[in-house]
Amino acid sequence: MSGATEVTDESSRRAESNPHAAAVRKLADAMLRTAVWPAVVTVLVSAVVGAFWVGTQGLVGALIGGAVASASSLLTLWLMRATADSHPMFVMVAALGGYIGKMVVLFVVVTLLRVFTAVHVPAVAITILATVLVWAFAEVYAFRKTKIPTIALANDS
Amino acid sequence: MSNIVLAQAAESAANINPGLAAIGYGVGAIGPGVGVGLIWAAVINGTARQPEAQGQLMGIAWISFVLVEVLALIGLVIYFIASAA
Repeated sequence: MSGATEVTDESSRRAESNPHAAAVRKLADAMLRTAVWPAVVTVLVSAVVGAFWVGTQGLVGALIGGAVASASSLLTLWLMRATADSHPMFVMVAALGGYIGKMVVLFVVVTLLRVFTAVHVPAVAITILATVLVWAFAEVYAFRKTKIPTIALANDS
Repeated sequence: MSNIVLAQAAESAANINPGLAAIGYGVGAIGPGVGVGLIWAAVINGTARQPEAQGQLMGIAWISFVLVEVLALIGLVIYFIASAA
């Protein structure tokens, strides 16, 4: 138990003392702050359009599509924060693992969604597409607006 | 007679559509997978050459990762629409 606490303390201390990790976390926070509200608006607009377009099926489809797309984008941001303090080689493993896991899970989810008649397939698809694109554009905007310094550490010669 | 043959052809084409869509999605996911690998390979190289730029490189890599991932998600959505048709 105390060992786990020591590990947590050690990792948090390393995170605080690593300016590279702080820069990545700052970027992740900026991306989340910039993207979350446009994504919520997109999902709501899609839900309203879906409800008017095909009724309850469209509404449910748009909400499910928005949830799937938002979860996908949030997973990337979580991965970014979780691996901020890691070596780039491990980050590559985590990013590729996250990509594969996400693709497999989304493939299973959208394949299963076709079985349910309670959702309108085009509403789900268009909402996923719109939400993912809005997340991506907002994240690029946040990236352009966030200043990341070049850091020369004291122990780097 | 020719009408019956055409109807059968149309039905068989509709039956293989979900399978073709799944194959298309699988092929489409290869490109982003290669892209993600190249992005992080570049970050590892860049960090090894210039450790002080790690924060900048990681930021650029993550935003590139997001954009590459969007390509795969677009492929997924197209699979979803095509397999339902």
